[in-house]
Amino acid sequence: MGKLSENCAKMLLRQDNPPRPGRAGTLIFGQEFKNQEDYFKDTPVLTEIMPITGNYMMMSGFPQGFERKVYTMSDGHQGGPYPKYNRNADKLMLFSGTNPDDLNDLGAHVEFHLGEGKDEQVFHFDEPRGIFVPKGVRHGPIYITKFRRNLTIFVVFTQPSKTACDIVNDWTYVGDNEKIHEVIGGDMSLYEKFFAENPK
Amino acid sequence: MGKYADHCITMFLKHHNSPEPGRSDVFMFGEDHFKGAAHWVEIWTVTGNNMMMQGTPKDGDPIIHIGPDGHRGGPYPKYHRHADNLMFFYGTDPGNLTDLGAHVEFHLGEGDDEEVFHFDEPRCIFVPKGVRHGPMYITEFRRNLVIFDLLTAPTRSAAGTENDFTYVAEESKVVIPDS
Repeated sequence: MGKLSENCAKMLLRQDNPPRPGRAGTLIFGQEFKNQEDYFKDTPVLTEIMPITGNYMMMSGFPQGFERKVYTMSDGHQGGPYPKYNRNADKLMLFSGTNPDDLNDLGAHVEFHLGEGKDEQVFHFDEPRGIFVPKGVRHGPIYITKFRRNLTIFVVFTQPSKTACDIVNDWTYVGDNEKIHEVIGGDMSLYEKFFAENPK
Repeated sequence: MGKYADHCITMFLKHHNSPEPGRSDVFMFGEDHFKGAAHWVEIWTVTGNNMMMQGTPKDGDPIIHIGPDGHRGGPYPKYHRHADNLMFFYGTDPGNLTDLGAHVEFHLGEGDDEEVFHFDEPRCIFVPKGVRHGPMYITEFRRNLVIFDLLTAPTRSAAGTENDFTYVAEESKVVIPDS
């Protein structure tokens, strides 16, 4: 076998179960687990590619009045829809549209929260942007609204795996009901349906 | 100004000097745009049959572009002497994420070590530091796909990119883009 024969790597396609409205799964490339199809020993970075197909929110907390849950993922990692800190990695999130005839059209409106307390910055944009999340800085929620056309979020961590990133959730964060409604409309039962149980 | 006020960055959109059929303009991001950036990233959409780093014909004149920084470039296979390069190929059909939308032939390495990859599903090509990569031929185009190109250096200069100006194009492989 040639020395470069393994350098064309298949990315792990993680499709949410149950499906998440507004997102068509995630393509992941990194060094998470051996024998998993996204494992590549020599990569210095972990990368995720997320197609966004409708209004969507991430790291938004649970609505006020909902039971807050902590999910246990298939690898034993604890997670959930909470703002996060990457204790041991910088993170770059690139928001890009899919209209090659108008590359400045992101296809939706994004509201991105970076930092907390007095340092919190809230970015609003509807053109392509890169958000740099420094190590140890809280980020999220992200609200994607006024969806018109598919867009893509590329995520690059300066570590090869989530474990090495040392990701910590802000379990105390309570969702902003008004913002959540803006994303999913008035049907909170839809929210309850797809966040009710552990993703598989 | 808040301490993170400048952390939402407008990516630079590089326009082609002349139209390049089959390929959109390119978004770029790196230390030129944000001081703390660890990587140089480029994003472009493939909109038709296309080729890159294909070389020039045997009896043709070399095509050498001189950039504003004096860097010599052109449609030739490349080496990044000081950085690894990850090239992600993915499709734009959210209903079928395993469909890349075209066929890609990617040459990695040279001589006895050369590998030629063929794929029509999403892939990441990992180009180690100092290893030649290219040509790349995109054919059987059916649907737009995106290339997300990442260098493990914050600028192109730091990556130490060099071209193999000696590479002669393989004429049987030349891709004629749709106009």
